[in-house]
Amino acid sequence: MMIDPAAGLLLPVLTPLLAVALLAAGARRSGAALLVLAPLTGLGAIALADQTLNLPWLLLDARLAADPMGQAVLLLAAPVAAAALLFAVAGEGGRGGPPAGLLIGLGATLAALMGVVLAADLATFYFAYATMTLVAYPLVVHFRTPEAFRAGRVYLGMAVLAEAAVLAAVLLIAAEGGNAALAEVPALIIEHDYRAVLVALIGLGFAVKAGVVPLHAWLALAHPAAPVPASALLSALLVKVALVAWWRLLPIGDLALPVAGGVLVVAGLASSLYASVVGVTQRRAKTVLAYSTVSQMGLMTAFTGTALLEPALAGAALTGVALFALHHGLAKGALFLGCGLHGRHRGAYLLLPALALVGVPATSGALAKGAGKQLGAEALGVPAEPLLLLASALTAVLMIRFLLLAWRGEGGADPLARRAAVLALVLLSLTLPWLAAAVVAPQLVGYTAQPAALLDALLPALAGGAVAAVLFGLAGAARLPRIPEGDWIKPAMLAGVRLGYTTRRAWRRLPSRPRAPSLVALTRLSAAVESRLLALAMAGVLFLLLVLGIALLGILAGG
Amino acid sequence: MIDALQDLLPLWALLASLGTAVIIFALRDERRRQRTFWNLFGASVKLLLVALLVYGFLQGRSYQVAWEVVPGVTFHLAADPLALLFAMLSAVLWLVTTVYAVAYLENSAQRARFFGFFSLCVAATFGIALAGNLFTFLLFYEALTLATYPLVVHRGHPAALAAGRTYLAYTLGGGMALLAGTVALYAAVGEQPFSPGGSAAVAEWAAAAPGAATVVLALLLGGVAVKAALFPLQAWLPIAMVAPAPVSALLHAVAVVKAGAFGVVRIVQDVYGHDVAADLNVTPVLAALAAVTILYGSLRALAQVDIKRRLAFSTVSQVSFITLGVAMGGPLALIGGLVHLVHQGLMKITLFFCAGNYAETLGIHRIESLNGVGRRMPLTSVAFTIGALGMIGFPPIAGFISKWHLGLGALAQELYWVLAVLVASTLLNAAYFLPVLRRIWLLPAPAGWPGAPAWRRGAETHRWLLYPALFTALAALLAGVLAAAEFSPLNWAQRIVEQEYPP
Repeated sequence: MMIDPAAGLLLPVLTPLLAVALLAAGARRSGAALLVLAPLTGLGAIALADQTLNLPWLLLDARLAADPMGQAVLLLAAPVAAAALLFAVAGEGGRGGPPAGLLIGLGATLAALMGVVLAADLATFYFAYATMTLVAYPLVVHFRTPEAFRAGRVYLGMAVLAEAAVLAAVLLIAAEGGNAALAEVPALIIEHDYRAVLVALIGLGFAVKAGVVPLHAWLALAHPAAPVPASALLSALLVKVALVAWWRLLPIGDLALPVAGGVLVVAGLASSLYASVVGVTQRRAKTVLAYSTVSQMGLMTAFTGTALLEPALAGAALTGVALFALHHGLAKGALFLGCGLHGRHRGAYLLLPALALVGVPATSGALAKGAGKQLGAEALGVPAEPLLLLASALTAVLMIRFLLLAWRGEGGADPLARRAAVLALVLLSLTLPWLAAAVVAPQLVGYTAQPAALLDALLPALAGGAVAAVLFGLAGAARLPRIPEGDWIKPAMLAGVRLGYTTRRAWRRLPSRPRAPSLVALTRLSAAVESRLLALAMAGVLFLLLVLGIALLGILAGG
Repeated sequence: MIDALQDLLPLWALLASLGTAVIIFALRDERRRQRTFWNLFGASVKLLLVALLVYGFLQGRSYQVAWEVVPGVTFHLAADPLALLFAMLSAVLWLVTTVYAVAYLENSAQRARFFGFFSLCVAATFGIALAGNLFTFLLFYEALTLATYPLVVHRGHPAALAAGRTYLAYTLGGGMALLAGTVALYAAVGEQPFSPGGSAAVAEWAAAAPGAATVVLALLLGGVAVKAALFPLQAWLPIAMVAPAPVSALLHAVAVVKAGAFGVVRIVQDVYGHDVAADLNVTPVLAALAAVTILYGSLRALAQVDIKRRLAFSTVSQVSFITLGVAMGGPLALIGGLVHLVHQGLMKITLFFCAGNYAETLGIHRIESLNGVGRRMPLTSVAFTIGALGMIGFPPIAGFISKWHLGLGALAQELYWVLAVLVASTLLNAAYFLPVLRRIWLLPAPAGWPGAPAWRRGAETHRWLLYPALFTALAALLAGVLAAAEFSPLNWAQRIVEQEYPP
């Protein structure tokens, strides 16, 4: 029998699942080894770029393929996931290794992520996306603390609501084209009677995953609560899936959608600035990183928005977003994993990726921001320039805040494998984006070496450094306002609890027959009615109805 | 000779269940091994015969067993694809439930009575599936009511007896409405066999006397709506929860509730035809009632603390998806409704098996006692998780395939509010199932399970309790994963709809 070479596209999904099965069956050693190697099968899938795997018997005629956006995420996911899994497998050193539950959760999340990236039809894409959201929940609540459960509740609550929007969008699309190939979806949306609704549902549904303010609350709670490898996966890879979804589903490049594009640009930029400011006030290193993710995802959201505004820029914007995602994913993955080291000098591991995020010349950040700047100048004209510079400067302040908080570990030895995992990601974050840029956008590499671009990259970093010196050095960090993690969500939840409390108290004070309609009252009322119905001997009532019906029938038939 | 025997295959399959019932009634209560043998033998033979029926049907054979009872009234069994879908579902799940019930009721009294009526109940379900006209349908529909009553009151305590009374009051009332509707229809147009797309005579009559046709249709649907637990006739279902777990499983997944839903399909599609029913303005009302039931059932489920009661209200909600699919009309919605007939059965029976396992093994009846049970009973909990996620409509489990087609069907009919109902139901299902899963898998277990009887060390639970749950969970998963494959429930539903809506 000939084996279809495209069957290789199944490997990135099946390998982690096999590892999970081994782990669940108790084969710790082989399962863990396979798990670490599993992400690298994603690199093989990149080589199968022009293939489509048809599995007509699976789901609703499942198809798998690696489209350009998918290839970019695969290139990012393979090293980051491998490093995060190596970090997880290495354990704390001694004491029986990592808990199997964590490894199983990571493996399942990885398989679902690969499924999202490789899905080429609507149903498979939705399936993998929903699975990814759900299996990440045990990762968030891994430590079983009240804090973790609270983060999990917010994460799942927001995710399920977003999922409902996505489901509605998927069904609306499928009503026109059946279980369409993803490549045909943009065309279907353009022709769709409810185009505006669809674009809004897709935009909103995935904005939760992208962490666009104010839908970012789950991110700021979940990242600090989850174990380090899980945070790395969430922050470096899972949030990027929103970009994949937007680029695949929305008619980017074919049709100008000024409203949707404008909303994405404004929301993205606002998100970026807001998250940086709030992030600076945070007191835990991982929370600062979470806000940095919100900020950086805001920029990528804004770039996506420019492509919706100006279809002509779609090609450049895709390159820009892909490079930015690659750069951010590698650097953020390294930073999160670095936070899990205990050594006194862990700052040495964190410095380079932090500088990369700031966009210091010659780092991958300078490359990504250069791409963004070119795009912003062309699409939005002059006003974008100062905003982007401001965002860069704020990122610099945020990263300095992070380095100050995270520089000194609490002490203790780190297993070699953990240090190797972090180091590998640091090295890759310095090199891989440049290599990718040299292939897809050589002119960009030249652009970043120009004096003007160097100055552009250096200025905000220096400005940010100066602001940080004032904020943390002279004024002292203690003066910063206290903003709870997830900013608005805590007051909102407290208000909800208080509202429930006062309602219940007011309820009890009411005279015995309350008339105010409420859900509780309705359910109670219906229960009461139901028991009343039973007492009334329902059969008799039905019988009367029956007689009445027959009488009516006689009249009608006779007349 | 062989051919003649084969032509009577529907009758043999019916007799297989009836014969089993007779043998079991004849056995004394303490002859456990013999009864178990006959139970399993009967169920296996039945499954084999139904499989032969399906095979013969695929070979192009047509099975019709009919004889005139009184002039103008015929006892008629016919094997069309819709009948075979329901017959296959009941045959497979009967075997599984029998295995489960044997283990579940190992030490209880009155087992002969229980298993005897259990077999009668399945015989009646099979009759409902293969009924070829309204009279035959009515006959088995009433038989089902009577056969299930002893199962509901099996425990014999006051709560069970009260539940039985309620059950009888509701279902007999519904039966009377169905009887009246049937008599009126026979009086108006004479006997009409079920025919895909509705019978021409009924359509003519409906055009001539729309008022009378509407009332008769309302009577017929009102009659089956009781068993389908359509709002506001759903009250009996959660109360009937006092029955033993295998009975609940059978009631909710195959027999009673499904008989009602199946009746809705038959009456709307094969007696009146959807177009006629829509012209009479009955289907919009039916769709609205189904939507109300879906949301009402989910809201009530949220408030329950007893596992089985929450599952019962979830059934109220989920079964109405079938009615909704039929009422919406159009091929896609009908596929969604029909395929949910099977999918809901697989998922709900899994959930009830698991609830029974928790109760039997650890004495857990309430949701808050489920903390950490995933570590103590991992396989049961995996099965429960598959069932619960499927109910939410989580891909790739079977429930998603149903919801996909219902959603597409609604949009094809431009019923946009149905999409809102589907999304709301997804959210509500998530709201009452996900916290249960969180308790099972993530919360710490108590120091011990006080209600647990001494259990053999190392065993999760009785094997015969575990395997049925695992089997149905796997089936629910595969029905979703392999939905596009040939002979999947989806494929079969598409085959039925090709007949109802010829291209």
